[in-house]
Amino acid sequence: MRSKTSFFNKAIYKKNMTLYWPIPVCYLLYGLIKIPGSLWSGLRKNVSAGNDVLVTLFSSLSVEQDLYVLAAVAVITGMAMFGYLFSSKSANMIHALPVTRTELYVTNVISGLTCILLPQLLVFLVSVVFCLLRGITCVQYLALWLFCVAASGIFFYSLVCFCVMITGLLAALPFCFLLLNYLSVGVVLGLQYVLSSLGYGLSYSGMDPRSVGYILSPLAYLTDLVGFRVDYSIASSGEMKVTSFSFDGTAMLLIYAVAALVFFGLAWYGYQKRRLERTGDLLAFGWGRPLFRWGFGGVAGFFGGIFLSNFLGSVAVWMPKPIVLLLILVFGMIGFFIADMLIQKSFRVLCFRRLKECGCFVLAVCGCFAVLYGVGYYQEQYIPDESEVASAYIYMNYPVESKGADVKRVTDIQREILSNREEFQSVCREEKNYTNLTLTYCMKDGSVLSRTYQIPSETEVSGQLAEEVFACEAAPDSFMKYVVGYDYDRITQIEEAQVECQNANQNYVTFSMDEDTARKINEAVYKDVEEGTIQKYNLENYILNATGTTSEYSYAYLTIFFKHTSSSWGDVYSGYQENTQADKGLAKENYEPVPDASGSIYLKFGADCKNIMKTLVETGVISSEDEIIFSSDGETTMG
Amino acid sequence: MIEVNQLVKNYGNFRALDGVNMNVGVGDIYGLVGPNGAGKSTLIRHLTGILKQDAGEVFIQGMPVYENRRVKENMAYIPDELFYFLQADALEMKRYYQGIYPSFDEKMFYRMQEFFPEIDIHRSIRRLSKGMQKQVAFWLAVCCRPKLLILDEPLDGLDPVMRRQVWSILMAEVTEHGMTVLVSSHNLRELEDVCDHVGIMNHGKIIIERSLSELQENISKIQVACESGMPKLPEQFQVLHMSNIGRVYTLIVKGNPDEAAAAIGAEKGHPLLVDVLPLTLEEIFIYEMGGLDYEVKDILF
Repeated sequence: MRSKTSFFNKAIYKKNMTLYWPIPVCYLLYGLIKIPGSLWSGLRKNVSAGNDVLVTLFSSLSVEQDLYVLAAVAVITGMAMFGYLFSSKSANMIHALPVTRTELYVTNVISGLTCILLPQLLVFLVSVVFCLLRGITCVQYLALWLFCVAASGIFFYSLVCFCVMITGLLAALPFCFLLLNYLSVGVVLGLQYVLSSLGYGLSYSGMDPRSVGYILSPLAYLTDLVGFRVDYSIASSGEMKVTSFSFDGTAMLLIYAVAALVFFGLAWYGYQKRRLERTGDLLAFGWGRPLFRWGFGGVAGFFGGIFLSNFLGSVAVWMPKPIVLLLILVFGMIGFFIADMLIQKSFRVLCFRRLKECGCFVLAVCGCFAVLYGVGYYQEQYIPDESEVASAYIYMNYPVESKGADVKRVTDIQREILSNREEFQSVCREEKNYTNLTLTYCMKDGSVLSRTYQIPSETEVSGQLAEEVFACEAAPDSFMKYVVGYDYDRITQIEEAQVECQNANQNYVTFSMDEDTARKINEAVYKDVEEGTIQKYNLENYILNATGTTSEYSYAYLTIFFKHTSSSWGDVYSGYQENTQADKGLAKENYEPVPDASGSIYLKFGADCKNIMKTLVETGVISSEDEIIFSSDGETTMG
Repeated sequence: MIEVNQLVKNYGNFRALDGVNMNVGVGDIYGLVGPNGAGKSTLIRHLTGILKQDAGEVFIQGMPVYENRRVKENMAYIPDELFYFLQADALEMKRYYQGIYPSFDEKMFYRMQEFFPEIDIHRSIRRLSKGMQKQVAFWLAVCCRPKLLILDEPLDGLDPVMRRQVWSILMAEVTEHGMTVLVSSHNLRELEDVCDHVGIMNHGKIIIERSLSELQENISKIQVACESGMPKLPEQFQVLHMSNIGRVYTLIVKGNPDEAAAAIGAEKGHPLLVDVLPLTLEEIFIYEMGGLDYEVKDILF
């Protein structure tokens, strides 16, 4: 006989497991294929190729895909276990039986967790046995994997239970789950989208995963920031070795596990308060209705209105701000009433009360628009204090880094752009001929501030700006980083070089050079860069010339192959990304190049590159400077 | 067994139950009747603890029913729309009910198999006909050995033989174990045969609640043949309906029928004939509801 205080019902549990066994079985099959299956397959291929066994193990244990699958399994399990709550027929029958809601809830939660955790445990055990049989003893990593997926599984299922209790419609459950999983990211991206349309230069940069708000988007956080971090080294033979290994996100997983308890508690409370007469409704609680109407209307208004105004602005005519507001209001009201139709399950939603509420909604949207407009204006005019900036970038052809006192040249450019804002904007609207110039500040507090301005091409106003930007890009140190890479002064050996060009007969020819000649050519390149004669062949100045051709056109290409010893070798793009991207430091697989790595320089040169030309003649690669034709008639464009 | 006091339930702005009062004694077979939308199903959902009332009280065996497992263990409910688990057969449902109801009688389940010979207990219930699904519901409900059985449109879809079969099983349970039955149905002729108490609902209220015999004694059909003029009754008698064919008048009268007949007979001009006829439950329902603006309207084209 059942205990009077028991919260678990064996009959319901047995029924759940008998009815929904395909869910854990499918999940188990996925797990078996994903871990022991891929381990078996990987070990057969990779170990015979000489790679480290750990490389295969860690590639099998990557959790990102597992977490997406887990989220889907949690939703399906929740839909199965609590499916009776979404149909009045089943809800009435189940709740007329002598079981309390607490008993039903606890039993269904335990059933769901069984469907999720049991396959994970079985996969873990099978993987441990497999690893031990293959002589892999580091099974503690499998335990870490189990901890990660189990904690995430418990959290996802608690969130599903919470979603079950706030919605009354089965089809709405996955959407509700997704919404809660990406709520903070969605809000931030939405605000950025609106602000980028309201303020000049404000860009759409995404959400910083290291920000506290990112934690409120659990699926995004877990897939981005939780999992194994593996550093590999690749030997000259091509063999991959694991050099270091760690697991990120243990503390966050524990926090999510605690949050799971809160969600389970909230879901239980929601179940106690759930009104079964609302079964089949989109929202199970009355208080959610105005929230949904206003939220849906607001999102529809701002996104619909701004998207349409941007679209019309790009194809037809630019929309002034009052028209944008009008579009937002129209889309907002449409969204408001569509939301009400979904709630009421009827097209007849127009009534005095609702119209009155819609009036309040319109006022609120106008208020939000005014606030966002003000915030947009403030952000637009904001120029950071140079003392607070760690490094700044000007990005047209490539990201040019400025540090210390050089940061001022970036702030000066921003000031100049802002002082010509209205002119730039009006020319861009009419001419449609512009280029994007991005200014990025990496602040000392770790935050990143980025602005992307549309600069009209070939206008008097932008002429001076073009020269300033070009001067930054053509600076020898920056240019060398662009064509060679960071640590360009740590090249240990120049191996060989090649020149591809047109000869006097206008045929393409290739000249190969030995190590000694290549070294001399390399030195000549450095000298030409110092003298500033080679930059114009390699940098495009979009502001001066909208077609994007280089200042001087040339058919002559120089390639130099070298070796270096820098372990932190990287090009300007990867350096820029690492410093400015929101997801910096998140790469879960880092490849560490071994010393003595190879690299190459590839650039164009022309008649003005006196040092290169002289070296080519002196080393006998060409007999005279006339042997190379640099461009056809009329192709020497900009001066 | 059942006591309902001032029960109120609102669905948004619509008041589905408007201060319902109800009393059902132990061992009664109580027929709950009323027009469509009167609130019968809503009332039953409160009696079974599915819905929570906005105001008022619902007691079963003296205890509140909502979220009360002890009370629900002694009652079974057969709704108008049945629900069975996906792919479940009668045996699986039996096992489920057995785990839920402590008093479930497994032996009785197999004994009762002879009453439902057409049902294959290994076949998915959802694949059975509507009538057969109803039979399974009765079968399971009776095996729970409930002290209170609540039925919402129970015989809908059953053939006449099976209807009798089901009622005979229920009557046996009432007689042998004192089971109380509350049944909501529009089939008043059938209710008349089995019910001993009747509650008539309209607009979210129980307007009449009496034993069937009291109800039938209090309202009657009196046929009067007059030589001239119309029959008249003293004011203490309420005439619910009057019609005539020639000089023969038919009156539906509320009050003691014999006293009403005597009053008509004592009228001036002495009617040629005064005859008192009993009313069926269906007629009582129609005439009572007619007094509340719910009547069969004459069709005019």
